[in-house]
Amino acid sequence: MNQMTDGHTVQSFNDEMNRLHQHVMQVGELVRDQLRRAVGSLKNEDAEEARAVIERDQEVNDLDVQVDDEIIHIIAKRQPMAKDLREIMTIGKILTDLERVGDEARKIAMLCVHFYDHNTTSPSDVILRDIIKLSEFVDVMLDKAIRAYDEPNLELALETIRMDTDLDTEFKCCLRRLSTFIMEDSRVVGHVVETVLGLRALERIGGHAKNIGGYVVFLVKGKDVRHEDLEAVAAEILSNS
Amino acid sequence: MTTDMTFQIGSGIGLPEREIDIVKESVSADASLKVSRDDRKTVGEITHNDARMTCRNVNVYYGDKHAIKDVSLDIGKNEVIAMIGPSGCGKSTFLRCLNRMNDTIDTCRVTGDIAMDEIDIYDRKMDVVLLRAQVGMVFQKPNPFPKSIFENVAYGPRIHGLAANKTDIEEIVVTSLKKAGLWDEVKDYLEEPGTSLSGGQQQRLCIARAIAVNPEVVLMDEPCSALDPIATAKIEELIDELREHYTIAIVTHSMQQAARVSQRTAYFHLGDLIEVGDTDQIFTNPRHQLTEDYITGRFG
Repeated sequence: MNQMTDGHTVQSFNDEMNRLHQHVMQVGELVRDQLRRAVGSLKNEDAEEARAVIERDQEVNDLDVQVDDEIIHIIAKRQPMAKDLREIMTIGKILTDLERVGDEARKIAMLCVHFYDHNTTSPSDVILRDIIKLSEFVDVMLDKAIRAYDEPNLELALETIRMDTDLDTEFKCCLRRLSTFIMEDSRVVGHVVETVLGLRALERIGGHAKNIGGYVVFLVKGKDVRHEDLEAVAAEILSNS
Repeated sequence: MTTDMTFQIGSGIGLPEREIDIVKESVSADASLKVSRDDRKTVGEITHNDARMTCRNVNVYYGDKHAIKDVSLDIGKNEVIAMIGPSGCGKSTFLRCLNRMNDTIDTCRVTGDIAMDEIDIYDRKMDVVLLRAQVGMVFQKPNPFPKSIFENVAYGPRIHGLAANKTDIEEIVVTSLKKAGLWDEVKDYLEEPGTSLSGGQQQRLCIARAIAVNPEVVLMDEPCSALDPIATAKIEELIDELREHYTIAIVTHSMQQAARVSQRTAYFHLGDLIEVGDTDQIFTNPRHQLTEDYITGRFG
């Protein structure tokens, strides 16, 4: 039972909306798992696992296409209004962001293949440490964002948006830290550059989680807050209209 | 968290903790964001800054039945206002108050104030025939007179003395048929009976007949419900053009139609005016739970 999708006189409309909702949860779980496995492969120096992650991205892409197709059919068939309309638009947007999270996870898996599947030297743990740490942070962001949509829960949505600010700060700190490795030993420049690309992918994932938080505010309140600053978003959430 | 994180989740930059607490309190019940189903006070802006018709505390009774309950609403100049709601909610009854069509029903009693251009239309001195020329009406089923196409349009201006001679009448007929978007289709058949036209053409003929007497307001009671999609599209296009000269109030069961043709929408429920607002807002983010239930098809 979902208060956003249920209650229509036409039962099959409920079913279709619930199905879309479940798809979002399914893709959300899938891309989070992809991210965890990609980072895990890096941690365990397991290029085999990384290749499996790259291969599995197709599953995310297929689901994305399938759900888009279902959305078009529902719009044509039901002409949704009010919260149904907002829910459908929100689902379409969330899926686009989740699909991109999948793409970023694949980039990290490709990094692993690059590091451990060729006869080149591997980066040291201290260089890779930031990727592992940051990935745990963005996983929490994704979890909050997806739960914010599922419940729906504005408080979680706001927290996700707020965490993106922390993530940006931490990303900059990581860059700074990594640049000191180059200063000490310029031979690690290649590894550091590759690692920065991995961090960049994580930073993007955080951005996608933040977007999802914004969509949830739109879903519940009917106001687009994607380009508002944090205080404005909080004020919108507190407002009673 | 397994690794030693150098920064704490949920801390640092962002909102102060106090503000987050306020958010927690106020968002705990998302459903309460909408006005409750039990609250029957009108939500939204009932006034219009350039009103053609002003209705205040209007009540309508059919015998013992209280059909319209204390409805207040402005209808603006050059706007299309759509009245929506389930069957029996009072939207047609309210529409019929606006040109005193309810006078024709013996058991019907209307209280409250309805004014057009600040003149009370329920004043005893009001000439009802003149009023119905100023506030024209188009019905669900096209109802042309059993006369020629020309006579259907010419009849009104003639009895209201709007034309001095035959040339004037002809001019009014041509202009009205052009405004109603019917001229090109009927110009060679003006002497044919009005009933020989197709349903959509008949409805446009009725619109031409209504606008021939130079009304201020045109009331439309489900004008497209007996028409096919193409005829419906033509009427909707016509409504959009007529808005330039007239105020239009339309009752419709098609929410998509209300969303397409109107600038403001009023939602009625069991005789109460529940919500009124900009059409864009009503159909994307209604404020009352009953409005939302109705337009999303959640009515039990």
